Amino acid sequence: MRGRASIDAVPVTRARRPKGLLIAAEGLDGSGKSAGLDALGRWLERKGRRVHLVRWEPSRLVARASGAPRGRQILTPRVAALLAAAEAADRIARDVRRPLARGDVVLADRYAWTAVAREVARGLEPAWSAALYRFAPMPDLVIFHRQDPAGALSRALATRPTPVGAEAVASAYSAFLVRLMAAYDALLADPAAGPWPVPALVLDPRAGPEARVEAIRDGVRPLLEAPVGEPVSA
Amino acid sequence: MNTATETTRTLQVPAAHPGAHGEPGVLVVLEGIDGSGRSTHVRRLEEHLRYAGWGVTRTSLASSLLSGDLIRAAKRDRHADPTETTLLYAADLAERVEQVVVPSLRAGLVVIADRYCWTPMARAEARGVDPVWLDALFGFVPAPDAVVFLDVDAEASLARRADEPDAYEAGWDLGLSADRRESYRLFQERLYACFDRYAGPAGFARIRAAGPVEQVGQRVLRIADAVLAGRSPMPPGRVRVGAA
Repeated sequence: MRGRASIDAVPVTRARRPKGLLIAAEGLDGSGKSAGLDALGRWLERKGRRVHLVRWEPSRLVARASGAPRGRQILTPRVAALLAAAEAADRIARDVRRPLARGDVVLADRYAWTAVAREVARGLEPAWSAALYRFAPMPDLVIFHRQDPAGALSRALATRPTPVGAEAVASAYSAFLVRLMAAYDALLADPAAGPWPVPALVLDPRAGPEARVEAIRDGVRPLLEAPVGEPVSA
Repeated sequence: MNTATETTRTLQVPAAHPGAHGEPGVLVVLEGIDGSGRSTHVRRLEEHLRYAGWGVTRTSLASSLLSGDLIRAAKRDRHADPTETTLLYAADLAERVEQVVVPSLRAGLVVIADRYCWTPMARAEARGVDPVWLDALFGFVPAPDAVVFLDVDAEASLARRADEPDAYEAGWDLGLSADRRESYRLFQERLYACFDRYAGPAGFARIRAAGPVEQVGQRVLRIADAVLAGRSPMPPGRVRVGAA
């Protein structure tokens, strides 16, 4: 129902949220988000939960606009942010709200924090960028995978090789990653400065894969034991 | 970003105030529910100002290059998510603010906006979207010099329509009534309640607009003339350059 969906669009308290569990993994490229979520998903399935994995895809609307004849000049950071958010709203209504309403678990491979951090890194106001994504349901937990920008850069260059002018691309992208990390840090320092005051679990980049899996389970376990729909302390 | 929490809560659409945008031009907005005569008065105002020698730019809802078609598609889709549609309206307005409104104001022109942020805000609110979020979302817009609110209520708007209202203007997706005209009246009533509430904080100049076109038109012109008082139209061929 559309009316219901939009009233729920701005969750302020956890008590108003539908049952189900939303866990978001955030962080730079190559920080181990996907591996962590895969392991978590299998663990939750073994516990009898129905799990949906949702990836934060790049915006098709923005890609199409930047390919349009005059699009490149018109597609300013704010217009791009709003188009991307519109597309995300549609995706969230379908892939996040619906399974949550059914009481399922949704694991988001990047979510609103990444969207907000990217807009801030592109020069938009932090407060406005955070407000933009307040329509997204608040996760029960954000798992932040710390990764230094240099690691993310080498990973990005390895998986998406750049043709000509690789050095210039690398240097521009590196500066972007530094700004992105600063934006994530600001959200970690004060989650209430983001779309919602979400509890966050920060994973140490030096910990091995097994230690990370264990840390994630420790963070998620209390959420499973809590009665459905009840507030959970961070 | 340590002060961002407070700012997020206080982000809001700026109230109309002459000169608040800080550019040499003038921004006059006309708002009102569907059937309030807005399009007619936008045309009349534009004509009046051109005759008086002003350089005028007009901008209308959903006329942006990148979002216009997306909005029209969303309006045809009964199952479109209201949050998504609102964000498309915001993208549309952001593009026009950046490409039309601000450059025109900087060049010293008079910009007439046929609806601004308040129509999309009211349409979203009428569909249950949180007004606090809407206020923050549209907080990027420059403050108009004046907002003319053409005050026509839902009954009067319906009485003006001989034809069957279109589905979107009737809020057909909300299922308010099986009868299209009744649905229109109920939906426009919701929009009117929103405008009525925005009027004070947003500094609307309210005009009772149910009367004869000529009389209402004169009131609209008086408001625009008051904003333009003390300024003179640009001499032909001279470009006024705003502060760097």
